[in-house]
Amino acid sequence: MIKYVLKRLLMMIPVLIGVSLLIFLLVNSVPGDPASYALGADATAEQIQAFNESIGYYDPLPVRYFNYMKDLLRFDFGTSYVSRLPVMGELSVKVPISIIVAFTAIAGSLLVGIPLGVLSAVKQYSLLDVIPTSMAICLASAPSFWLGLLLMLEFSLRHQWLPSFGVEKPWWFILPMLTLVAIYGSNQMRLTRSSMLETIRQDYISTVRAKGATERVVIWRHALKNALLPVITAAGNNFGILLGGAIVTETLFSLPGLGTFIVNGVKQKDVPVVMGGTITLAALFAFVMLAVDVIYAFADPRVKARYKKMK
Amino acid sequence: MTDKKEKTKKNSQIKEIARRFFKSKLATLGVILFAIVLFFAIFANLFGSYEESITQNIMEKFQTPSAEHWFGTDNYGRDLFLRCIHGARISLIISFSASILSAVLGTIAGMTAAYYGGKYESLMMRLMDVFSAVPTILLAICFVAALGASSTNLVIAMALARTPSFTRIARGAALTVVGQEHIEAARCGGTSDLRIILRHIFPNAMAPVIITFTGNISSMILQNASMSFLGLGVPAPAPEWGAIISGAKGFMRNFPHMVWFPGLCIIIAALSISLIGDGLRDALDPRLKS
Repeated sequence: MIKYVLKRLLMMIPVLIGVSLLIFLLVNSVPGDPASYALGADATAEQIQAFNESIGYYDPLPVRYFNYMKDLLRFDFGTSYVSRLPVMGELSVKVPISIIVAFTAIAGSLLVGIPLGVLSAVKQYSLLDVIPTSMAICLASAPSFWLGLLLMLEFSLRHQWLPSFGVEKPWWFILPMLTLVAIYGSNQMRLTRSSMLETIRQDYISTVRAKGATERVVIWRHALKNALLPVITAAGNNFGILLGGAIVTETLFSLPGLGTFIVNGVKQKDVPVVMGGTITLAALFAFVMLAVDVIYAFADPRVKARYKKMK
Repeated sequence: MTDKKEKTKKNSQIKEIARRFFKSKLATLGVILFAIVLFFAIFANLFGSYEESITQNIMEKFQTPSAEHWFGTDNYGRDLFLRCIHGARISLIISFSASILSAVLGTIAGMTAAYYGGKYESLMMRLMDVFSAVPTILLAICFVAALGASSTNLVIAMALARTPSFTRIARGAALTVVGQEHIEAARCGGTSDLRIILRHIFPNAMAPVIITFTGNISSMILQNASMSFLGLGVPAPAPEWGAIISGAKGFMRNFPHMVWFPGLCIIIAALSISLIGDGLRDALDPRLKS
């Protein structure tokens, strides 16, 4: 197991280098030069040239890339062109926000999705199945910004119960959370349902029933445990996506998270911001997926046995 | 003779899939909803030209739904129904072409990776790992920023960002076929690699690609709308659904219809296609046949 984890950690290095190269090429292809974004419209030509020289913009592209990577090896993420703040410091503010948002949204969607999914699988074709399932299908097709806007309309414009933006108080997170839970919860619910439906038709469930276990024990102890594996994987995957991909919700509710940070960097050709942001994001994502696989091995003896065989 | 036999066999297979597909009520509902969306997208000009949908008419601004303006009008007095149906056109064209492009790229990459194996395969799969290490919407935004904002570049960006999932699925499906004897036999008979991939591997690995392709279209509709909402999609004043909602959000307190209708359009379009996708999955996947 430890050997496997180490192997996975080593495999992350080429992927991260690949990500850095890809993003470096992309952000450097954004039209315009960094100085015109950083200094604004009323900068003189000399100022622009001086700024571009100070960040090494006139060096050839490979040289710039190697310089950046050399600094990165010392965990020096550089300084933002626009805000002139060290990227490391900015990341230490944005990353926790993104982690909190992603974590609560996933926890909430599991809390809603798993029980509803189990219920609808057990009572298949009854009203308890049809209503949640059709709601989940509709929610999965709704754009997140639209749901967020409707929540905003109801709770902050009509009733003024909750503010529509900002992160000053914990309850200010409620509306963006509701938006994300609606979307990811319906995703988790549909997954739980289909995985549960497959599991309760397995022979070992019939065996448990034949032994005379009560229905509650059959469903919640035996079936759910087995059905949960794809749900855990999806939760891990969704967590990774939410870390940097909740851009729309972040923008709508003005949450200063990682996704918005990177997108603003892309728009302003702020190379250190985009590079630092994406590399951190990709590394976090890889760690989450590795953690999911490890949890998997603990939850499922079959998977654990496979790792043993591998070495 | 054999040709005819093969043909009837193929026909009956398609018929069987269609029978299974339409047995599902949800899939049939999906087809009906999609037909409605497609009808308005194709015949949008019968209700008013594209120019009408982008021309401002301040005299008629902020009207609520009426017999004359079914969905009401927006802050520039443009008819929202007209904007929504022209938006259907834009949304369908972009999401279909992006989906097709990513399916083609991913299938080529995945099938050649499975067929040739070795260094080429590991290089290809590592490349896909790199692409999928960043969330798709973020990657698509980076591509659009690098390529410049236009509809074509938007399609390319969204397609490239989604290619890894197709590559993995196509490779997985192809791997189950590559080791089989008929492939070996074809190779021994001197069949070219291209012909083997196209005639022997592709048909056998097609089902999962089609399922992913359909599912992908509805995610593309949502992503396209999200990118327009962020101002990174189809350039204004094109009546893209996400852009309509983005423009309406400042007025939604007093005129919620401006937000409701385009949002419902997105839901109906995305929902219809994902229902069709689910139906296709059940119809094509014999494991789930009941």
